[in-house]
Amino acid sequence: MSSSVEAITVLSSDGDEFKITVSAAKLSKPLNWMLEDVCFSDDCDEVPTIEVNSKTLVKVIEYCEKHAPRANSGASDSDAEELKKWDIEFMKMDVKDILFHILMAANYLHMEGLYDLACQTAADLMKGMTVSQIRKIFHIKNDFSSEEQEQLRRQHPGCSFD
Amino acid sequence: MEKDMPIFPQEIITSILVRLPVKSLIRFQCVCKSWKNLFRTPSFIAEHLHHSTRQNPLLIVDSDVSGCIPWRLCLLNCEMEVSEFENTHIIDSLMSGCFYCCNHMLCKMSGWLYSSNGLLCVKFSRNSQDHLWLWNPSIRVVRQVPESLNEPKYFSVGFGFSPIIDDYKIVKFFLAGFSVVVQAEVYSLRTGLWRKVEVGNLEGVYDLGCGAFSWNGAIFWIGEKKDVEVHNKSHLELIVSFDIAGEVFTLIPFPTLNSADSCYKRLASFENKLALLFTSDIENSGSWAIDLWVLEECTDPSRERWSWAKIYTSTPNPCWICAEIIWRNEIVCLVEAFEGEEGKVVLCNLTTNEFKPFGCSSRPGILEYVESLVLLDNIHV
Repeated sequence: MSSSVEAITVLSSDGDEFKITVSAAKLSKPLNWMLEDVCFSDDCDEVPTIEVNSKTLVKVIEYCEKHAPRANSGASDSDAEELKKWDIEFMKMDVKDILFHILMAANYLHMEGLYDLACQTAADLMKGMTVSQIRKIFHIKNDFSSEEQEQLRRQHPGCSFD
Repeated sequence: MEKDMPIFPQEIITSILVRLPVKSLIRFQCVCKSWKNLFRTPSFIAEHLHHSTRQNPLLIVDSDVSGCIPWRLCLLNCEMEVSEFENTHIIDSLMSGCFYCCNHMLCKMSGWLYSSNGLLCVKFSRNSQDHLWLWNPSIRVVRQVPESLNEPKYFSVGFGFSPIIDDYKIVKFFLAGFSVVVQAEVYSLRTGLWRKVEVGNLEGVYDLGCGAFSWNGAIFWIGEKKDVEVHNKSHLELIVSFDIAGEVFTLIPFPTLNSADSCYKRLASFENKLALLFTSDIENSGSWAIDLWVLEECTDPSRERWSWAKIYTSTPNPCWICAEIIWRNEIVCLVEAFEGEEGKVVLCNLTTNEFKPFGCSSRPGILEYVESLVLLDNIHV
């Protein structure tokens, strides 16, 4: 790729255009490969599509732009602390589906840091839920017979099927 | 909202589940059969333990001043919150009616409760015979360790985990008069069997009882050896290490100390090295300070294999303290009970040099601990 390019344009799965700086795009392995393979000079009109919806892609790009300076140059302890606080704020998405879409996107885009952060946030949201809430979120049917339920309950008095 | 939820690949679901606390997983095994089975696979248990260790390293503090069962154990988490240690009644009921080897000095927690990688090894006496149990309090599983090949009346124990062979092992030293090591057997949780191991290089080593420490795939003990070479001293302090994977004992020399006899010693690990904590009364002034030494191993055969370096000395503390272990960036110390005052725990911060108390009284007994699903897979014993 040409070294003069500082930002690239990508398309979301909804067809919207987004700008992302090269250093931020490097946080994702597939995007990094894309940078190496595709010509991003001005006379090249090919715009790569990322299979992530617009709503989610906005958040992913926001994360990348915030984390890129640290990933590229290393950071002091105080920067790391500041970034940690930023991550907590960033993950304050009360709409769970954004969180889950972020997870899928981080997995698809091979972004280790965001994937780890999203998994931990999902785990923190889930840990206090009831079994039936969990089944609803993950579309899971209870496939235990009543005898099996009884046996599990005996072995682990802490568990509940509701 | 749930209608818009994407159908997750199993890989992502597993990545979330391994980050959940044990309590939630025990509940969520009722979600469906595949989750219940997933939680019992060795790879899930190992990955969960990895996250649990990284995120929630805990300390167990024995707050039972009387030294009798039932135990009063409490947990300290990274937020410095103290909570009651749950499920001790399982082990208490097993031990009820047991005679307890309650010579206070011999009955320190390290002498009978060992912790490694989410699992505890408990030693207690019944009819003046010592018995061993493996205990995972997080999932309420207790298993008796089978009798060893040799069943002596008294023995000394070490317990640890090796990531290389993914196995927990117990080492049992059989002791003759003056606590001299005469034989050793090793129990593997994976095979469920005891076997004898070679102790040739431990000849003359004695007094290994004091606080086995497990770290980095090995178990370490502070011991002593009758010294024939040094004439001005009748014995030599040393460290015995046991490589859990290779089942080999190695003797490691002690650092040269000025007042070795009068200080309190504990094994620990610091910055990925074996460490020794020494607490001593500075020139008998009634002020106590902690020295931290780390061990370097040299691979160059022309030089000494082992060398010790003193890398930290604490500020003096007016109380009689005993440095027990290093936990995160702090040395955990016990303040001895004195003149009617209860014993307590203080943390010495390695960066700020400050001593901070935390709200838990204790008699000697502090262990590192992590919540895990180990033993849930039911493949052992």
